[in-house]
Amino acid sequence: MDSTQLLKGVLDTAVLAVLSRGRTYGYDLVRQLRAGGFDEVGDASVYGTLRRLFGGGYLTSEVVPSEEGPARKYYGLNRAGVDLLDRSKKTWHDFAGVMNHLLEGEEE
Amino acid sequence: MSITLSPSKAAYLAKVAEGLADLPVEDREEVVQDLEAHLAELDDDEVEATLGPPEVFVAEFRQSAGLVESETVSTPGIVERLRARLEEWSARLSEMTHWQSFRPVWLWARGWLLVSAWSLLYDIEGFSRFPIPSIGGSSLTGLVLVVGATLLSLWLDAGTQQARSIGSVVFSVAAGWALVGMLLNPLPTYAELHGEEIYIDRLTGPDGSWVENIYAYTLEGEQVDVLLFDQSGRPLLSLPTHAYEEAEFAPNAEVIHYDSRAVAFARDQFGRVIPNLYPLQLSTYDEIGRLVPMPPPSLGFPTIEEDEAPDDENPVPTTTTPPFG
Repeated sequence: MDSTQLLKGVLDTAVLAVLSRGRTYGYDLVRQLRAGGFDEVGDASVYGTLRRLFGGGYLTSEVVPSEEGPARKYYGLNRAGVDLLDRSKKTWHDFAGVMNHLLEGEEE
Repeated sequence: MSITLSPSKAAYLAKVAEGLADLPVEDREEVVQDLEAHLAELDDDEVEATLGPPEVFVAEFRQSAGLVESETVSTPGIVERLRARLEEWSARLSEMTHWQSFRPVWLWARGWLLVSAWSLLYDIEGFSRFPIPSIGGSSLTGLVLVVGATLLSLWLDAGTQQARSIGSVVFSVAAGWALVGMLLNPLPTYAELHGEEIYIDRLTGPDGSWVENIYAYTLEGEQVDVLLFDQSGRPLLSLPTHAYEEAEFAPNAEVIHYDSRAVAFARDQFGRVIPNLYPLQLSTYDEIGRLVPMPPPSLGFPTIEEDEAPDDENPVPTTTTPPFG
């Protein structure tokens, strides 16, 4: 099946999960997602997700000067972001459980 | 530390910015800021390989950000482009002209402008005590309203809520209109200030001839300048109406010519004619057309000697108290 659609559905949660480990900036966030197995995620999608989550009031941002180049904008979770991640985790586990159950039943 | 992107990266960034031209400037700047830092991490040949062409990046970003994707994403409509261009110009203008430095002045002035315009609109003497506008004939009321309007102006500007921002914009627009209105319709004429209407009929003397000029003297026989009004406060005018109209239409003319006369009206500090300040500076023409001032009347005032007492039948006033006021 096309994993692109699946990616879209879980990208918010994936971004929140990475940010829950600590503040980071866009390029590093993309790198961490790729390292975590999201090979097909587009950079623009990550930035779009960041913008949407930030606009929704779930993230903090801070521009930090960089010695190596342009200033970087670090994103982090605020209280609303942590709550959203908790709810997303529960939704994901419930959904995954249902899917696993269905798929295991299929195999039997 | 700030570095300059390579030309190809800068071009990529510019194309993305152009593709997002319909976004508010702040939102677009945030995306550009993120992408600029991202591009700095890549080699030139990696840019399109990892991010895709600028149009694809923009489309993917829009979709992911939940932005409504218009049919003209790659080529924004003329309205969006115009708006984006205006916003850019506005931002640049702010940086170039230090417009912000005038902002506090405007915030303090706009309250006064609104009250002053109101004063001029509804109170004919609203500016008689410039710069404090008079409301309902009271400068104190005007001052209180100016203070109130100024506080409101500052309060509206200090807030971040949308309602306050809208209120501040409305306040500025109204004050701007007030300023334009005051510039286009300046101060009322002197006659408007001191009387709702002026006499049309000429003043006439006992023999039916026109009274052209009026001279006032103290009881000591000293000629004085006076402002003459009737019982209703209307200015007394002695010249034909068109002489005053000529003067209003020619605010810089030193002499107004009318009929066979010329008059040099007195004017106040705003250049408005004071039509009822007597005696008028009237002139006539001699045989070769030169202006010749018309002299005051030759009057024989009685002189009072210290040792001469008036007789009872022809009393001469010995007091300097005028018989009026």
